[in-house]
Amino acid sequence: MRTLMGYEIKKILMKKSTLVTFLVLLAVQIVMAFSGSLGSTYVEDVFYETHMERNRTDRENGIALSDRPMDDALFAEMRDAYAKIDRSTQDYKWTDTYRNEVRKYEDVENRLKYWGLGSGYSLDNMTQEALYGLREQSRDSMWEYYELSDREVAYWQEKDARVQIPFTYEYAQAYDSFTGMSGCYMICMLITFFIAISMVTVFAEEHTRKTDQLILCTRYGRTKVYGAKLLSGSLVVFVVNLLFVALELLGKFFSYGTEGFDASIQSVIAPWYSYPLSMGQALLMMAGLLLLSSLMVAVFAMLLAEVLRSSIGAMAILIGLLFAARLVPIAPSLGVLSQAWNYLPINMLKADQGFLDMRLVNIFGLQLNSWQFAPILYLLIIVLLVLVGGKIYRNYQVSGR
Amino acid sequence: MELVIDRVSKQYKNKIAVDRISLKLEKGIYGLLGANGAGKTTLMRMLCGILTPTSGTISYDGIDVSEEEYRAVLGYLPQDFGYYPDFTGKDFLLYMAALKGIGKSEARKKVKELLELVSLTDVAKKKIKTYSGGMKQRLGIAQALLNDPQILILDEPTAGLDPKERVRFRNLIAQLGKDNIVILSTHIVSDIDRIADRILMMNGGSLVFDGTREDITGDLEEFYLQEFGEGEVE
Repeated sequence: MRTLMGYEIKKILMKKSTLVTFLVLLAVQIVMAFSGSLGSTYVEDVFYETHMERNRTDRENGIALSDRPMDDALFAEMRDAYAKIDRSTQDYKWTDTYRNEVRKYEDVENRLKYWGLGSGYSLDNMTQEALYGLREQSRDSMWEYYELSDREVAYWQEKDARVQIPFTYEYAQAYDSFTGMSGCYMICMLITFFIAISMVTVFAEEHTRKTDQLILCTRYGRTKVYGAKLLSGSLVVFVVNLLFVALELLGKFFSYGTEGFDASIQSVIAPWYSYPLSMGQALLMMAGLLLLSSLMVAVFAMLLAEVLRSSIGAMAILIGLLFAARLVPIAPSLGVLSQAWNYLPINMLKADQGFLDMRLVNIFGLQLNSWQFAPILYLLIIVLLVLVGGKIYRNYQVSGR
Repeated sequence: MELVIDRVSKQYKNKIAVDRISLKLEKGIYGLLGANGAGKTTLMRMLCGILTPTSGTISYDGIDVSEEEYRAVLGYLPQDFGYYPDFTGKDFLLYMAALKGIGKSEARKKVKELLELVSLTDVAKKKIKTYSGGMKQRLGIAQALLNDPQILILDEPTAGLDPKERVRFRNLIAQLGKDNIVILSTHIVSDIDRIADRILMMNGGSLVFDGTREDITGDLEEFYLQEFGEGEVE
């Protein structure tokens, strides 16, 4: 099997299209991973600071503020600091006062803004009571948005009781960035493109090259070759994916530091979410889901091309699905369809869409949330695809040439 | 050593490509003749297990054509021989050896022998896309012989070869036919005339002639043309 896999991997890697696609995507990945450290800030054409310097300052400020509860004391301190600058002018951010006394609160203020917990509130009138009251309203709105059943609400209420209030501020820029649009989500897009170009030929090529008749009449042609092809394709995708994830993490940690593993997901990206999850746990789970989902997509792509006997057809379907998943929103009112749509890898790896989807899946009385069920679902799909694909492969008939 | 083809048919919708062919083949060379569309390639594909008959069975010493043991003793050179252009000739043969379940060291030895046999040693490390048509054909013959097949099915094995190579391979096939079952389809009637122990002629999916060279009086090509109303010889 290992020898066969060696040749199958060689077939994949020797294709110019695979090599060129890999190199282009690798370049994109490297730029994406380190983009946070590239470039400089200029104010009215005058150099202000490099982004490396900016990140270093933000990181030092963030670390200094870490472990502080996000409560009235912090808000009062921030108000005092912000009172020293005139925010009505456009260039207040470039003043020494801002730089020395206010900037250290920028991350907290950005989070409050990003959360968008309610109109009429700003730092000027924000209180601990108001903030966490709005957080509860926001949480309840999400439950309504997802049309949760009483049983699901009870599940989340039980989890929510374990969410620490007030939130504790932790500097977690690398984790925030990795779990956001420029991290896992973009890697998922890149890997899907890689799969669409390089994996669709694994089986289909044998038909177009007419080597299928040679392979199928050999001893292992209908048995081990099937496994060798699937394993080889999956291994190539896994390694490329792992490389991209490693580069992304390296880039994020290089740009923003490694601090923030224990920051609560509520205090960084999703205040309304009810599961007591840390950013580090979220990162690990998203990275794991990314690797697993890419294997599922790779197996799907290989077998789809085998069924269609066409790499172009399979490529078109994959790219079409990728764009459809992003461009076609399916409202929660459409029930299971909407929930299933969010389990598409590209949606699942968007933290505020699939990953934190609050609808549960009930398996034998066990209630699983989206990031608990997704790996089970992806594994089941892989097994199903391998079994069905194996039957199709073994029954293939060489005719009509 | 007996290859039994028992009432084998293949039907595609309204067309019968092969119609209830029954044969018992023992070691020797079988020359298969027939016009385009006579069903030769369909029959050969069924003998290789890459096309399932609509009805009937094919077995070798009791082993069904669909089984791995059957494929282990099979060598096949299809008419439209496919290859991987970026593989070297040597790599291609080593890959085919792995598919045939030949161990690494044995495969290396066998590949070396066969490359010499088909006069491709000098270009063994060159990519197949640089090979001429004749060289590719010789590579195809080599891959069919990798596992010392007891059943060797050759569809146009001498196509693209120069006259000298053709004679060499005709002799090689004659040698192989002494201990194995060799089924040979060719356009070149003289190849069959010289080496086939038994001649099989197909027309419209049916076997219309099954006999030895001695059963045919006079020239084989003329006999063929008479049988098929001067149809195209394939």
